[in-house]
Amino acid sequence: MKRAFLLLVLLFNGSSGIGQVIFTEPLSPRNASYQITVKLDTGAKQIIGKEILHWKNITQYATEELQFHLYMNAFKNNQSTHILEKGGHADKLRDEEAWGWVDVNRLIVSGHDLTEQAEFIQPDDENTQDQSVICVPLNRKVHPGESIEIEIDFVTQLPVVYRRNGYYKDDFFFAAQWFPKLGVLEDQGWNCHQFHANSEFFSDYGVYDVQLTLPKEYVVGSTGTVQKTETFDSMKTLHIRAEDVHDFAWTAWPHYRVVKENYKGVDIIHLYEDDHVGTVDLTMDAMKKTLDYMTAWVGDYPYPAITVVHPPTGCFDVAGMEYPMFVTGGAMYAMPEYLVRMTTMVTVHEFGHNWFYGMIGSNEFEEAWLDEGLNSYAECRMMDHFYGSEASMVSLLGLNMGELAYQRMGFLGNRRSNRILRPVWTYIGGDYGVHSYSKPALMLWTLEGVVGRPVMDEIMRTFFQRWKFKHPHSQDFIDVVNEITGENYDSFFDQLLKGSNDLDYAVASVSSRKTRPREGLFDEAGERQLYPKEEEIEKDSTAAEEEATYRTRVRVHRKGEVILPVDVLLVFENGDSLSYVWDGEERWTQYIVNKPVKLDYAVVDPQRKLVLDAQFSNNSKTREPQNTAVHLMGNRALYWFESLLHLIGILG
Amino acid sequence: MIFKHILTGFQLTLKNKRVWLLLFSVQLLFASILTVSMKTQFSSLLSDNLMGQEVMAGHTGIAFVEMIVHQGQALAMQMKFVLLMALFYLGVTVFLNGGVFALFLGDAPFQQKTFWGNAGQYFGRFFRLMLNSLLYLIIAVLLYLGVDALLMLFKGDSEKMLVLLKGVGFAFLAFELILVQMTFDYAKMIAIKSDKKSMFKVSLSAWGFVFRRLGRTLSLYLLMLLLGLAVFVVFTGIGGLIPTISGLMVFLLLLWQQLHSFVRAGTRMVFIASQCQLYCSA
Repeated sequence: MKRAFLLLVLLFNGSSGIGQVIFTEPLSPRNASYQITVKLDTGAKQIIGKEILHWKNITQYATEELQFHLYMNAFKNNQSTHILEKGGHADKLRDEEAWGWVDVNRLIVSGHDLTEQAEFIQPDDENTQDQSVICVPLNRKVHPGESIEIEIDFVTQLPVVYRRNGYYKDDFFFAAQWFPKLGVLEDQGWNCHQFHANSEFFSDYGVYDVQLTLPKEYVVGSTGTVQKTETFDSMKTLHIRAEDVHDFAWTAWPHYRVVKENYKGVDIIHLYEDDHVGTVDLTMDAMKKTLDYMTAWVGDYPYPAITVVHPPTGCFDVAGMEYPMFVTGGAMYAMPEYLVRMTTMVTVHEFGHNWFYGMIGSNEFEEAWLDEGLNSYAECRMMDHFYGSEASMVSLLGLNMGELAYQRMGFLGNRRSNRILRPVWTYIGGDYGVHSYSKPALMLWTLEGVVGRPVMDEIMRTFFQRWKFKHPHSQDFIDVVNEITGENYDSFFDQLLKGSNDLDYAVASVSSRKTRPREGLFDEAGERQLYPKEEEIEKDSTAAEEEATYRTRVRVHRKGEVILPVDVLLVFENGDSLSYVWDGEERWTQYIVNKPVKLDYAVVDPQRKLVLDAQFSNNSKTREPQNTAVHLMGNRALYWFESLLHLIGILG
Repeated sequence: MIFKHILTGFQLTLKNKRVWLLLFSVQLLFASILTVSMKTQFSSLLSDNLMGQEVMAGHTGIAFVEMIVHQGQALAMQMKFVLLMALFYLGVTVFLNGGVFALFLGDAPFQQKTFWGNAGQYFGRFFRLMLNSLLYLIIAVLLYLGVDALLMLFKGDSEKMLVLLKGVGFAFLAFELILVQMTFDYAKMIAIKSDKKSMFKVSLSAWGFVFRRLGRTLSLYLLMLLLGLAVFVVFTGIGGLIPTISGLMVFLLLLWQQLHSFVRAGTRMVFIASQCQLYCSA
């Protein structure tokens, strides 16, 4: 049955003659499939060729135009929106051969040459110099469910390696966003944003059949799998195929070393330079661990292969980026990974993107948190699980940092009053990084704290399974949260995702004061009893202490504007404890307790569920001073100051 | 011969325990002043909440972030104060060195009056020597930058070569710094023994002295450097084994670290005494 289906697919798939089918049943709508035939001109640093795009309108509305991304034109001059948003200059892009561009030489839609009709548009700003999007008016409407074929001849000039793209010296090439790429038609119209300084990408799923011709000594890594290699003279042509992906990137360099290992049915391919041989094992280990964790946590990795590249020296601009079935990490020779786990973290993060970006095809222009935020949260879960939550990131000179400290440093160190959910090009300066990575990761971690880890796991799995190979929006995630929890979490997301307020609870004060014994007249058992004043009673001090009760008062303050229910814990000197849940609606609350023992300490959010809290050190208060740690840190400071002075003394 | 100088250096140091204690105490005093202001920040961060318990357990990352984020301005001020105190300490060291070097170059046993008298007498010359040494340090750094630029011509596209050549460059810089520092130790001896007034000429004489006996002077320096490293490794290694789980253990760690500082001050004295022995025997 499966064989018969396979034959049918081969016969009727628009890209049939090119490569072997990988998935017997499509995983995605496959409404934008590309057959690309190109040649790499290593001398001119150009990619020359043609693409045939089979596109199907899967919306409810007809369209009379097409919109394409010409991302490479962002590197054409210093007036592009991308470069202007970077400050109007790109130091590396100076010489004529340093700039990058893409020219569409011929554009034919269903047999009609529309090359002359194509015009540059700027849907996001009024920068008429920006040429990163073209609009092509059609001769007729493309109706819902209708498919068309678009043929494009293009030349791409790679820039010197810059912003995840380009060439380095004579023989290193990295091609990302390198071909004319169709935008996404939504019910609201075309979603085809310009290439911004901070933005990533958004595309429909499809099948990519790519024939890449280049000198045969080149080692290539790419999205997809190589189906066939043909060699002729000094050249070779690779037939590469990827199914149910929304992008295709590749790299070529004659000096790559390759390690390949099949792990649980997935070929893990690692490309690296000689000098990075020391990071091969840890990279492969991180890839396997990520594969295991993400598969168990949210869902399978369905593709037959994943390629991870550590770019060679001088090409760090292409490091740390995700593409379907293909990611770049980053390694440095002699990097002490056991002190700062940077290569591992980047590898885990980028491979994790194959779930949250690769398979969850969210709009990275408009809702970057859905890929970077969800994936940073996944990275936190994985790194702490693999390497221990106390020091999964850093263990250096007594400084131990897990993901919580690392993400909080990213968030609090650059905190500005901004909201997570906004188009990425509308962020100011460094806000993009904070509001797309660390703040959303901490927001999701906070959500985990509120709903509990098992429920959070169900949320993540349900969201992934429901929305894989589709284009979900933020509301789709919120809907899943509401559905799985059975409660309405709109307020949570209104405040933390769509709002810009701070979350900060604090214990404002604690006290335990001895209560005065009864004094005066009390009616008890039908009789009026006189309780004399304390000084009139003679008691031994021990007995008095035993009978004493203490009035404990704890004031809790909501210093931020974000209102979330929070746990409050009071712990007494004998170990007894009292727990409360405060709804946080008022600006402050207080707890008054009479007990025969004094309070030891009070803490809001004792289990650190609300990790987005702006200040942890005010979350607890002890009644007695806690000086041991102060002395310990003081000792360390004294010792380091002595050591510093000793060195300075040598100069004297 | 070198070992004999070092052995004599040990004996002289043990014979002058009061000087050893003095050097350690001055260093402790300056470090304590710096620590008091730093401890105020630790106190405001840790003294009335549970964060200290995390720090005690070795989970220092969260507290570190809180400190950077919420006490950033105070930390910046602290750094300026450290710089100021370091400069002041440098001046005090220059002053004390007059007494220490004169003590080890002479035959007389330690006497308070003589020690402080020598410290005062040679302060001006030693201070000028220090300023002279800055000139040589600048030359050393410029030379290093030149060598580094030259080395980078050979790195090619190899990251391994880049790291290795940077390592070679830093080793060269370290050697230069050692040479300058060592030469100016001998310059101090010449300044005392020759009673020359021009410290520039003294420094030139010191360079001549060092280069005529480069094997011996450098061997002594490197041996003492190794000794210092060994002391560091032993003390920090054992100190790292002390579990800081209670006030008592924290106090024990304090004692251990102070013992290390005390031994380190002694090692510096042995070093100076050994160099003085080498100078006198030359």
